[in-house]
Amino acid sequence: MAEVFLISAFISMVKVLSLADLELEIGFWSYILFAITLSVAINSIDKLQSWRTVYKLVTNKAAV
Amino acid sequence: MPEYQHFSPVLIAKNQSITSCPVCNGLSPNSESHCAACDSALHSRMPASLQRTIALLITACFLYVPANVFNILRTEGVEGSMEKTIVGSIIMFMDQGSYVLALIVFTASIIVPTGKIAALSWLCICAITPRWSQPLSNTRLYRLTELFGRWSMIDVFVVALLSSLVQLDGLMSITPGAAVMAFAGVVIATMLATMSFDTRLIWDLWEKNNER
Ligand SMILES: [Zn+2]
Repeated sequence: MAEVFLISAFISMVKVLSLADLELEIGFWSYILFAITLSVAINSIDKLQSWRTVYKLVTNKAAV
Repeated sequence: MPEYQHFSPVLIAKNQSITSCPVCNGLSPNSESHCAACDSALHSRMPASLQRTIALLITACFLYVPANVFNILRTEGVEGSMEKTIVGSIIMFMDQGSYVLALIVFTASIIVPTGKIAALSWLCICAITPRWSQPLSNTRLYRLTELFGRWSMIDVFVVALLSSLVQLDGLMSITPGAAVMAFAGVVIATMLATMSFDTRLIWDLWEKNNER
């Protein structure tokens, strides 16, 4: 949802720009980086591999 | 090697008396009620999957009406107050010349929800009438609805951000309209509908068709 929220932030910024001046501060830039790194992290986790590790820990034997 | 492998490229777990876990994809025998690795409940097919999906789709259809009829935003400024529906705000973006924004809002609030409802209804129809079922393209369709579903939250987020950012006492204020709740309801209902549709139903019919 972080990237969806980021696009929404862009849209509402454009809307507000027609009413007032906006100055972006460090929190906004940090949020962009956060959204990007979070989506990359979610997409690169190997779910099956991590569950296989859990299974090994729980049962003390290799998963089929 | 079981005989039916000659005409189907996949082994179907149900016929092998095994169940795959919806969370960790681990395989357990049918007799187990919970997964050995992650302890989630196991069902060979999700119970009442079609009924749940259809019920949630009908809910989404009903909620989509107030989402479009009522106002989504109410702007109060020095020049007076202004109320906008979803379509009204798209037209306003077009008038301002920001076509990219108009396209984004149009996609997120009209194409994605209606497309999702249509796609899931089609999947449910296919699950009932095997003659029309095209397993591979249906699976792709399901993945698309899963992938693009959350992008329709854009509208709700924009309204939430605007109404919290623009609160300048006396000068200008933006308040959310009644349509926002209904639209959020549409998004949530379609997301739950996507989750409650059991994709394995698509392949069950395919197998049935091949046996004929
Ligand atoms: Zn499991």
